[in-house]
Amino acid sequence: MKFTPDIIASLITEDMTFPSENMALLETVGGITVLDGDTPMDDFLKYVEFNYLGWDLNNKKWQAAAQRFFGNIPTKDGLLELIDQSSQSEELKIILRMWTEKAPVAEPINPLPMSGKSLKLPVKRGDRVRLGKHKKECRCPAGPKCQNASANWSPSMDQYVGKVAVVIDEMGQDAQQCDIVNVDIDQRQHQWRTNVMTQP
Amino acid sequence: MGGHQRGPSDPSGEVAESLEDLIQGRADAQDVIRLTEAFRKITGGLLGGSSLDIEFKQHLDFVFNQVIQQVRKNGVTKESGEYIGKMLFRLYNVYQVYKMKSSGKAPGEMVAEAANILKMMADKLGWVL
Repeated sequence: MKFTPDIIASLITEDMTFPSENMALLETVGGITVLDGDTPMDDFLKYVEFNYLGWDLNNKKWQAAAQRFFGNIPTKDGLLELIDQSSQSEELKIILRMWTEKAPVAEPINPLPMSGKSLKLPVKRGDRVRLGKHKKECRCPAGPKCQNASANWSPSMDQYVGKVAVVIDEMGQDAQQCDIVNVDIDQRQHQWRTNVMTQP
Repeated sequence: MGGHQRGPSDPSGEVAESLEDLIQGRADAQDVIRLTEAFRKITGGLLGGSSLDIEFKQHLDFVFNQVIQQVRKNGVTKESGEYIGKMLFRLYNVYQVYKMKSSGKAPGEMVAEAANILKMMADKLGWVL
């Protein structure tokens, strides 16, 4: 499709689509909306706004995606409390309450029991794994005494511990020389160490 | 509420002010390219971060490349400038909120600020919340 000034003007409504060579950017990731070559630019922007910030103006969704983005916002009640405590205008509080009350309730943090069976290493793209919590460690020659030892962990990863996921990308090693991968269950938001994964 | 956002990554407000000009039809093709490159520059720090940062940067670059390619080829009319301005304005505000993730603010504070930005965007773009 060639874009002339007239066509660009018409894009104000809907018609700016993706050329096929850019499709690599838009592969399916977990449960996130799949975008194809006919997706208008406006839908792409909605995808970006929802994927990175959590706002979904069509469905008035906020909480679940916001939790993913902002991290530890534990429950709907917790978010409503935060809104009421904020110094925002009454109008804004009403909007936020409306969104929050219409939003789906995020899944509670409830790790499944670990199977305990070791995983065959190395983990490869497409493998099904059960995620484990990272340990504070460093695999450099200095070993446990290394000043760089770290769990490479964030609280937003807790909710996925014990859950089964599919490996999307092999990401090499982190700063502690542990092999890391991206998985589907968190839409590739975190880097997971393979040495604490077990068989599903 | 209203006006544009100025964030720590755009200290001179160059991108925000240029976006305002573009949406109001006060920008030519060179202005749009300059604005897009300035926007690309302030997002440059994302590259090399987490995998999510890299993916976000790719999404931004996709739009920057589309805009520059089309504007170089076809120039800018009042209508296309308004469209491109609104598109970049949305991404600019997504970027402003995205950057808050590394600001060390509490989740509640970030949500409140994000809500303010969203309300401002809704005012500017005519979204019904």
